[in-house]
Amino acid sequence: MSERLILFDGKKCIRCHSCEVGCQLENDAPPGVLLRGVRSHIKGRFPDGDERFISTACFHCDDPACVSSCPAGALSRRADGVVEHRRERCIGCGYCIQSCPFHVPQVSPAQHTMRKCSFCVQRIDYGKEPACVAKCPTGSLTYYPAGKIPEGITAYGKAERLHMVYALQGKPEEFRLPDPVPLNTVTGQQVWKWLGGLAPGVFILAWLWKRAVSEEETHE
Amino acid sequence: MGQVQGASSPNRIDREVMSCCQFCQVRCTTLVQVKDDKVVNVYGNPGNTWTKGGMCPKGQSLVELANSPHRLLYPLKREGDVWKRISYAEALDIVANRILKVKEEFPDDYARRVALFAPLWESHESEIAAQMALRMAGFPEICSSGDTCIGNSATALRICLGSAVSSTTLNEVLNTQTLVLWGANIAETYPPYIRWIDSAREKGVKVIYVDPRRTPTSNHSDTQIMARPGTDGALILGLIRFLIHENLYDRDYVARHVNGSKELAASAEPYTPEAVSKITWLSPETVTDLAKTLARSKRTVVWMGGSLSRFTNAIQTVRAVVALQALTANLSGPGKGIMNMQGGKPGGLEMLEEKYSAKDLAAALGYRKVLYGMDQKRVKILLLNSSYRRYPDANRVKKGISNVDFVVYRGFFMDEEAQLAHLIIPGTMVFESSGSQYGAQRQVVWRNKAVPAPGETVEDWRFYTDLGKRINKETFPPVNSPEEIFELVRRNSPTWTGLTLERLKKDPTGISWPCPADGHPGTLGTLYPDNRFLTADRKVELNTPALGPIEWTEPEGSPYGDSAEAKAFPLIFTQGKVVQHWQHTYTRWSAYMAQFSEGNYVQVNPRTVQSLGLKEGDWVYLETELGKIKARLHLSEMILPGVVWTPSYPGGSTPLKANTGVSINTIIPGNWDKVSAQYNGFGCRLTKA
Amino acid sequence: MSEITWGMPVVLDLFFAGLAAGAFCFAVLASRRPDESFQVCSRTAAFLAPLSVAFGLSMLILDLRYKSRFWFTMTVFNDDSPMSLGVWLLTLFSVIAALYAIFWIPAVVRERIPVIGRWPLWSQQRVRDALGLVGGPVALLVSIYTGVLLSATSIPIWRNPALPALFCFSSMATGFAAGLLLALLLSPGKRQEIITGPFRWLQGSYRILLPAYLLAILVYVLLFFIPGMRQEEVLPLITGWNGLIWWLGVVGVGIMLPLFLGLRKAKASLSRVFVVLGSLLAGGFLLRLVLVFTGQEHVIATAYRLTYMP
Repeated sequence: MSERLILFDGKKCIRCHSCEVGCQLENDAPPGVLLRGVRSHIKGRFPDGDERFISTACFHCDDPACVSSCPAGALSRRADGVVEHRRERCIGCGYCIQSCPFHVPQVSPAQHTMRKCSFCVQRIDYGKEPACVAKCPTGSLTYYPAGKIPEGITAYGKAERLHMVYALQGKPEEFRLPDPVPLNTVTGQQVWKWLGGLAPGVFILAWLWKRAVSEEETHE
Repeated sequence: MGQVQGASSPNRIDREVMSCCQFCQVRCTTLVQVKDDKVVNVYGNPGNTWTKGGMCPKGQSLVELANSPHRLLYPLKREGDVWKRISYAEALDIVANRILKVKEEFPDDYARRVALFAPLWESHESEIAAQMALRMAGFPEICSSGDTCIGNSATALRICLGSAVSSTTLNEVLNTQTLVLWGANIAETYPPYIRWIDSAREKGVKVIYVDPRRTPTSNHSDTQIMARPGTDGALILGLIRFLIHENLYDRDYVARHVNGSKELAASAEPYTPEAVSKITWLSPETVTDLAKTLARSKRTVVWMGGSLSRFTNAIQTVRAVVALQALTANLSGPGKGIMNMQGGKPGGLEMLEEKYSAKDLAAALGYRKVLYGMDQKRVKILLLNSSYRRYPDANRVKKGISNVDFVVYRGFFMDEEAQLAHLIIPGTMVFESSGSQYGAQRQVVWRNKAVPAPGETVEDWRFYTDLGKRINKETFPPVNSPEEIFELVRRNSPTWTGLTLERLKKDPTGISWPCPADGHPGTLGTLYPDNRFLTADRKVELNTPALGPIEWTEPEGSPYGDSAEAKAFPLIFTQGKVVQHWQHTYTRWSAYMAQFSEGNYVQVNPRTVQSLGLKEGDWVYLETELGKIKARLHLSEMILPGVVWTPSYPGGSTPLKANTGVSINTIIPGNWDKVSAQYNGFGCRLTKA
Repeated sequence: MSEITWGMPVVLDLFFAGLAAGAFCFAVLASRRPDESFQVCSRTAAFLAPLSVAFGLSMLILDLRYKSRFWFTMTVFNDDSPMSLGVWLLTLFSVIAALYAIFWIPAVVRERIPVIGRWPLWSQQRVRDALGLVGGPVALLVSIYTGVLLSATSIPIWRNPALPALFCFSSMATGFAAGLLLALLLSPGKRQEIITGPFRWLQGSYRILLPAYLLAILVYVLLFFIPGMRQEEVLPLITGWNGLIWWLGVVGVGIMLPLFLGLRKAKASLSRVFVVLGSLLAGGFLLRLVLVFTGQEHVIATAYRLTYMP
């Protein structure tokens, strides 16, 4: 199955906010809950002040930390790469927020759940492009249903097989993107974390047990 | 008709309807998604060749606004301090009877006692209906939106070239060599048009952007010229002088097609590169380099932004632009011309206007005279269709309107305008009626009604048709729908012949006027093929005694002029649009737009406030000779030192804090040139609040 | 930028879940010693454990945005997710702790419980002790899980491999302290015996447990300073107002004070006992409080947070 991809081209973005509002309207996100957000980065001194923009939603990771973290079955990764959040299963525990290395999901208080971009599955499964891509007036956001972006484009996240990738006008850290692309922290080394607690814990408890069952006089 | 089957997902919407956006002149065509007779979303129509389906957030805010719980749904009559709900029939009665009474009471002097402030939101048909209704009854004062701002640019173009609109259409930027965006912040005012600029650059077009601020448009241009605001005329005269002195202009073209070149050369003589440098704050090399670039360019389009029109020296500046393009033979043909921001209101309606006017209709004197008439308590009825806070010295305008005996407001929300009204007859929003509208490429688009009108809201075309029939009992044409009004226009305008409803309802792009025959594809590109301008003698007219020589003067109230305010208000005031708001109007009621807004603020360079001890985020007073507004200070390296920029959207009436504030026109003085008013270029100061 | 998703309910849940685990272990350990004073403590701790974990679970549910859907977690077992594992673990532990507590209810009272109260099972001490042995490792896992839950996230000051051990030691320390404190409060007549018996035993245990706890704290902090780690990530925790809570509260009051007071050989007065136990509890609470809030305050919010620059 082909892998869906959205490419953001930083050369074309004009921070018009159309993708943000377009996403909210399509995905029933109330004002204040921006599933997609545009940010700017200014550098340079007058008269060479330079302002560039980035529009991010969810990165739709290849190995999503949020999917690994969800205790209620609300998050899943589809075969086409889309990491889908199903509101009807979400209990609003917030663990996906803490687990996502990009801190993508957010609380929607009025809706009592977390919210996250789900790649407009209700549109792409009917052959349409996601709302943000449809609404973008400059072509900064483009949708590749078969996942093949043109050769020669360097994009943040391309090598790591993210499904939203960024051809930036600047360095990732200027746009507050973690560099290198972070991995799934939930599954990464989790066994060691359990063992890291178990080993000293077992040792201490065993020693305490020995003290408890010994014949040693305890009263003065 | 006009409905498209297909959906985001079939079970979520009932139908998609072809429509268009109510706001700017890009006139994006849209697909409105309807579920249970409610608009749930709106997408751009991907078949539109101008926009390729893109939209900006303003058009999308209409989904929220059309469904807003704050919307006024029923006519309201003021009784003392309370509003009493009445029926539309009653409301219509009241207005019609009052207008007829004015004619009775002042049988020889009624012409200027009834006035209408445009723009009307709804459609071209509603404009036509309102014009017919009032003009047939003998009332000429229909004050168009351009009266205070773009009128000067339109006038200059009309006088010099014969038509007030852009001389060419957007597609020609692909055929040009150099595109000059003169104060045209396309990215924040006409976002979908950025695609065209990008495509042009891919073809090798060089884009020169003239703006004292670095904006998102800067990223889509090759060079930026940051001249002192209001000095564009001086810069252009300097370019003209350089071209003349270095013999870099097209002598042959000027000899054959241009009147007034001698006077032009005389006007331009004082503007040496050094003189221009002192005025504009640009280096002399920048001036001469620009001149050489324009001289070398085989084809140049100059796209003028709205900001050029907002100085008191605007008419001269626009004439100077025409002169510059004339000197370089860039006014006619592919890849050449001048575009402006309001671009393309289709013309050819003279026959219709004459037919549907009173025989002895007095000449319209325009907004300024109407305002004086209000001061003198001579205006009895005002039909207010949009915001009065778009006019400079808004408090004075408010006082004027308070003198009017009877104000009828056609709006949507209980805003400042509603507070001034005696009768509110709420209007329909864009999804709730059909009609045609026009855009900057002279294109006419047709919009289909998507959902029923809520409550007793009434379309503009219906209200003005009903009114027209009541006050012109025998003579008003028997039209009962927007289609019938459209046909009336088409039948009476030969250049509209090919713009049939059948074609328009199917066309996602619209058809560009003139369209003088059945099946004609519409007219793109230059309005003046083969240098046949629409002036009396078919030549470019640069010598107009009524307007004097093409010259440059300091904008009125400029800190660098001679006025007394110069010392007290040392910073240059500029204002402008933000992408998420339609200035002064009802996007302020949108919570979605509030997400990106923050009330009154000022953008200044850190060097500007160095000596004032102010820091980022401070509250300051933005003060002019008229008064002061409290605003948040934002320091930015993106703006010329010495200049203050503030957005035009804040107003005081909505429950959304981020969208509220004080209307900037309360502190913008009412300075006028011969045609329209000034919003930029006068002096201001900043003090800590 | 600040983004506080998890507030006081989560802090309370972590604290009381850990406390319950520690109390259960304390109950099982104390039950091995035949002295009456130990048995009293064991009984008290046995009742404390299920009540504490129930309170913790109710705090967890309170923190949910969609509270009525809490049971969705019982329809899913996501073996990647410490939160999922933890919910099942807590459920198992709650059942074990509740059953264990029933064994400790005096027969007279227990027989009034309808249906199951009269089962002969409940008077079988060997079954009780076996259950305690089974529940011990489960309790240990509960105490570790609260640390794994945080350390599996991407929050910089949580993502530390020493956190599970840290929370484990803290849970034991606070659970033991709570059990003993409750016993002192609820059995005023036996205070002296409890002080000379179980408390003294506990002091001995703390002589190893508290230094281990302190070592875990130091390892946790030092891990941020090894090459390849970003030391600026831990500075918000160990400096400033949060640093004050960390060093004075968590370490000073929560570890050093009871450790120091415990070095004194003389017989403890009641007030000294209360100070030792109270400061252990306070320190354990502060540990979770400062970690949960500080961790979220300084999250590098990389997506969505709109920076509108005029």
